[in-house]
Amino acid sequence: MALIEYRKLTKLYKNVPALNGIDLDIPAGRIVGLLGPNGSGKTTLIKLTVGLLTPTAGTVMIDGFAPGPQTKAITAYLPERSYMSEWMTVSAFVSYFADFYSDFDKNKAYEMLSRLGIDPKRTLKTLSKGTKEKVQLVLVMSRAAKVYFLDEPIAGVDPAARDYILNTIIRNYSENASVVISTHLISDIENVLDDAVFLRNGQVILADSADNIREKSGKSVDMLFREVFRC
Amino acid sequence: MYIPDSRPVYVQLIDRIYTMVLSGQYPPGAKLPTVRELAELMQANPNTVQKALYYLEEQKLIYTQRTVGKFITEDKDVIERARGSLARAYIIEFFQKMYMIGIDVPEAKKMISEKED
Repeated sequence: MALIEYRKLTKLYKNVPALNGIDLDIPAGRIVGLLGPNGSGKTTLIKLTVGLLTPTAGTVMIDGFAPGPQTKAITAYLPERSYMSEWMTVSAFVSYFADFYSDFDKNKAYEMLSRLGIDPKRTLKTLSKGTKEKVQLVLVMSRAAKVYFLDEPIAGVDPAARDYILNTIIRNYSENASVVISTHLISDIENVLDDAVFLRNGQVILADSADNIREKSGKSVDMLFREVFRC
Repeated sequence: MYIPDSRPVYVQLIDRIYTMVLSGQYPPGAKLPTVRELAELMQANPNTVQKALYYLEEQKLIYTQRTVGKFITEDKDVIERARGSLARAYIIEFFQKMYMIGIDVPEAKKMISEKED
């Protein structure tokens, strides 16, 4: 049984399909790139998996459970937009997460914050957009979850922080956990990926290992993406 | 112009590890970092690093000492053979690139010897 299983998963927004019959397995121990142009359904797929949306039809199972309290305890989610209250300090958020999630490692969070040069005493309001994104990522990656969903984790940060984020994902790698990263900045992450999933108009048009893609097409995942999605 | 390397990542990693060994960064008998450390060092996926190491172990360039880690072979023949085959691959690549810009093999060889003088 795969760690995450999608079966005929469909989501309509007022009769407009955002996802159209997704069948996909994500096994444990994989780092998966969820790749597609804007509006292809990446965020909808993630929101259905973490239980923020309910499917119109079809199912998603995480470690054998439909999205709910059991799956939320093992799922770490980095949303595409910030949900953090501006008046709170970084350290207040660390305590908040530590209270909320039993798998949260406070020391790890403070260590990552100091590596990134972020003062925990600052309020969110005083931080730049990129720094806020780093704080959110630190909170997510300080959990020992089974499933990590990172929605556009590298879009808003500088290249040095991007390297740090990728290294954090590598360092956190576990055979029992899977990491799903949605992005359109493929060349930055493709060396870190086990698998790539291409989404177009709410459908999976390609799901294969990154090395198979390179071997079969003779192209990097980024090059293939540009070709498939040429405007 | 940046041309991305379209070969499978594990093949690229194999090349990089060969280069690390042949350049003396990891001399014969040296202990290799762990898979996780190598993954971080090379910014690559740990499973892919594992795949590259598996291949290098099959090629006898590295060996595993159980519970201790992975080491570079002390067999000089294996290392010299690797140096030879990598050198040949680079030479072929060089001639192919020269051919693509309209310089055939004899002409390229002539240019090299002229440069040496």
